[in-house]
Amino acid sequence: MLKIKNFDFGLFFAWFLLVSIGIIVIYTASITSYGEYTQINNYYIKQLVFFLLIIPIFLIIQKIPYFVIDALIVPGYLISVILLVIVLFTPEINGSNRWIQLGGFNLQPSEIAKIMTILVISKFLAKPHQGDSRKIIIGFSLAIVPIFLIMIEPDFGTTLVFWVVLFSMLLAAKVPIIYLLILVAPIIAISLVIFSYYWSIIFIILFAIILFKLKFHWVVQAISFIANIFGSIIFWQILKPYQINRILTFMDPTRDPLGAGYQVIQSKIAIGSGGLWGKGFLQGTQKNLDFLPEHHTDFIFSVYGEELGYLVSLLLLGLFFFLLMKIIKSIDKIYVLERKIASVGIFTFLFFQLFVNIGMNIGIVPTTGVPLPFISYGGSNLVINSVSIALVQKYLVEKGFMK
Amino acid sequence: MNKLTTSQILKLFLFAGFAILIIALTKLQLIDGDKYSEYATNNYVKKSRLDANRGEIFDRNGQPIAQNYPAIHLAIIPGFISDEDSLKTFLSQCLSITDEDFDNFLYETRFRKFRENIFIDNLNQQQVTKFAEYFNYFPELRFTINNTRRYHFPNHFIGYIGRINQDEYANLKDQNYHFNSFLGKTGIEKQYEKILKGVDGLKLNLMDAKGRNLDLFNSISQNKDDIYVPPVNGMDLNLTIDLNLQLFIDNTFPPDLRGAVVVMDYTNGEVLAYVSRPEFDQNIFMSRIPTTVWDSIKADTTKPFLDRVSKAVYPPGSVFKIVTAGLGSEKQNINRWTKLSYCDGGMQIGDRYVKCWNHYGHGSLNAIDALKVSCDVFFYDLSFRLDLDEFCYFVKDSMLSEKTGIDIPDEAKGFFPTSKWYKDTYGRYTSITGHKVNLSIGQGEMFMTPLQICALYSGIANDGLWKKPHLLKQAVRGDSVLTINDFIQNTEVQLPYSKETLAILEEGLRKVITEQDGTAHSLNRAKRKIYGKTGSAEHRIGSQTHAWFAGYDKDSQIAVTVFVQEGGGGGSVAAPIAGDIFDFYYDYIGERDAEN
Repeated sequence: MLKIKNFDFGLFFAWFLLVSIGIIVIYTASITSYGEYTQINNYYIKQLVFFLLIIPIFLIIQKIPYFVIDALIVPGYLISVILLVIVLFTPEINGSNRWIQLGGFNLQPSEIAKIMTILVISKFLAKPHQGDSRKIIIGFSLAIVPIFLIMIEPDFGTTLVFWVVLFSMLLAAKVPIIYLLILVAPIIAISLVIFSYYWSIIFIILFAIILFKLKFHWVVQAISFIANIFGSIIFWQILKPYQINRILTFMDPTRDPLGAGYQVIQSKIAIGSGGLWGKGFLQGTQKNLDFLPEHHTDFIFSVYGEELGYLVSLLLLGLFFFLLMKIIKSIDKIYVLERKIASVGIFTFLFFQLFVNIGMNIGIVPTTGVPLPFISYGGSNLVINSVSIALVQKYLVEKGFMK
Repeated sequence: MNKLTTSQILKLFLFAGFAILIIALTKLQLIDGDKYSEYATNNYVKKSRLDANRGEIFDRNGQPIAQNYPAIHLAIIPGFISDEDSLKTFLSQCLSITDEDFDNFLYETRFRKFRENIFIDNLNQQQVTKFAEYFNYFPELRFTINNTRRYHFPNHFIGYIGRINQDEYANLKDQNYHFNSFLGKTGIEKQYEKILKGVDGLKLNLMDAKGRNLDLFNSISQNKDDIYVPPVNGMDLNLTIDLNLQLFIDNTFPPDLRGAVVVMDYTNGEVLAYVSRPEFDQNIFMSRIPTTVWDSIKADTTKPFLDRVSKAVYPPGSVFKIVTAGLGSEKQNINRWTKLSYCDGGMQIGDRYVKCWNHYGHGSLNAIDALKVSCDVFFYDLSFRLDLDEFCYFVKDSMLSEKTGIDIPDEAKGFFPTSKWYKDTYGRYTSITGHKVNLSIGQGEMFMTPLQICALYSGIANDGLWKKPHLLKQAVRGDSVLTINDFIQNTEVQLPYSKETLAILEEGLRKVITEQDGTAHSLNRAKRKIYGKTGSAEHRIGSQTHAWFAGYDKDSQIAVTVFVQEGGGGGSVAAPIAGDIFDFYYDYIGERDAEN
């Protein structure tokens, strides 16, 4: 079944190289030393366990017949939603409920939900003879459950990823872009309500008029209107002050100078001081003096940029670029619509996370808790990103078996 | 848009995104690289925390109990230590700090080596002068000035604050705590930590290594100036404690005895005085405690740290008899005229002769007279008619084996056995009758806190409506006022005592005082309505009995419980103290009302 000539070795090696780089960077991020004093965390060992795990996973995915994967999509989606509910009842870690503790490892259900939602949405969007509004309703209702659950964890970075991915997948399913504005409208309404009630009300009314003029189905009009109103009211009236504060901090990191603003400044100093050649492997002074707490997760690029410098940072960007180009190329080669849409979703979530993460490390994007794919510490993250690459690879290998 | 294929749109985004990233990275690392390396080598961002003032604590009349005072503390930046050995020698000479203490400190601060970690609180003037002389040699030492707490008199309810420890910090670091923060460790300070603490503010400055503000924020952060968040101070507390009464009791209580005194307003559960003896000065926790002092405190067998009001349990002795009599009346075993076995100085139970405290005997008595003279035999006989498990439920409903829910942490629960407990402890064939006899007079396997006794007597005084004892009157910050109802729920419980039962008990308690042969006749005052019961609880062979007095004054509406550990007879030791309290408070509110 496995057609070796369709196996994209470029994609495979780009992925493998990125994951290996990830291990090396987490190793240096695990070590802080000052003078004779050295502290080593065991992050890199944990990550190594997952590294050794994902290579067989990658190959197994290529081996199992596609109908098995296909049968797993809907149950997998349901399980991931259940896990997202369970995680809300676990003890808080750093002020949010994102992880389920299993033995020595923390399972992050929102990562599993990411890939399962992409697969389930593409499965339903690809069904023939569907109108545009039907596609939107399907995509929206499948995505809103995990989005809502992740929003109350809270994890706004991941919520944002979901929205963008949903947007891109609907585009890939040939939904006109104007329709997609309906999806974005609640976010705009919510953003406006933070400035003033009036702006939000004006926006909601205007948007309803536009939908009416364009003769949308009344269900779409109603849902859009209710979502806009509801979103604004929830955000302003029902959420507790600290939750609103978190949202505002998410939009304007300088509101929380203890956390986000401080981190961005330290991250910029670290990367900027790396210069052309970097300070050398394990030699980052900002890292060693521990100016940036938790620099093995979201701010790992600051360690990379500081120790390895501009040229090697460009190399990393180049590698990501190569990988993402490979995925775009494979989208053209895949003929099954469902897999095409899924590949677009996978592309978008990798690219969006990459852009937002590096962007916040170098201070051009507001701080949101989005990890750097393949590089940031985190087992669930590494496994799910790798599985998604493996899926694209599988679509290429099995492209002959069309329905 | 629709003319472009999906992959072309994606490519467009990909190229644009990477172009933006590469341009920004180039600017950061190549163009501004030198600037940032300068920041990295010479400068650092300094986060200064603006401590919120901790709320102060006052009594009900506004007299201060705990207040903030500025003090000088010694902080160390472990990362700047150049010569550890000489620093150790210096510290051990000046402050007698052992190498072990210092190594512990270095270990605890290992993740914040470049921050000011407070090492010693509350330096005195001599120490400050001494340190200042040597500061040139030790760049790692700093003085920091911020608030410390001063407690105006020793007591057990306020508790004390202390620097946050490692475990507490791990739990609380996301909740606005700093590694140098104070935290309420016990008592009111712990109970109301959340509202006392306030919210710390923050100031961010970019400083160079010499501590000069570089004002470079504009170029690095999108924000305008230094980032500044003002602190929100904690709320001040007004307690229900009346400091005049509290201090009067402090002075009245015999200085060499151990024990506890609680005074409650029985109409609403406000605790007016809360005295536990011996006392300790909480201010010793506000600075480093020399090892010798600490050892001597720990070796003190009188346990000065023990809060005997609500955290220690004792057999209540005869003050418990109202519960036995109450249950007998509720179960219709007795009424006010029922006379039980003849007391000839004791009573034959099976093959055992159990003595009454009075060897001459009391004769055959009804419940009222049995309470008056505290005749044991009446209650022995009554106990045969009571079921132990019903007894246990009744004690629980009288709130004697339940936490009262007072707003002080770690309250003791009290204990009353069930028949199952006896079988589990002493074997299946143990005779419960013998134990029941003992329990009926408040001795044996039962333990209660003085606070629980006081709350029960308050409930009796308040016509059977038990009020939850509490210490907080209100919390105030500016215009916002919180009362006790914002913090505790279920403030009242209807005790399972009917009107008839209460009448019997009240008449008995009244006769204890008024009648010539009552056990607390010394408290008899003309034209005053004082009720009470004495108790002398045997707890250990060969030691003095615990002296108890529990009672209330219907004129000034207070309930008083006096407990003197191993003090002797309740009538001779505890009752006079209560008498002084009743008199003082009666005159005190008389004067207060006359002034108004």
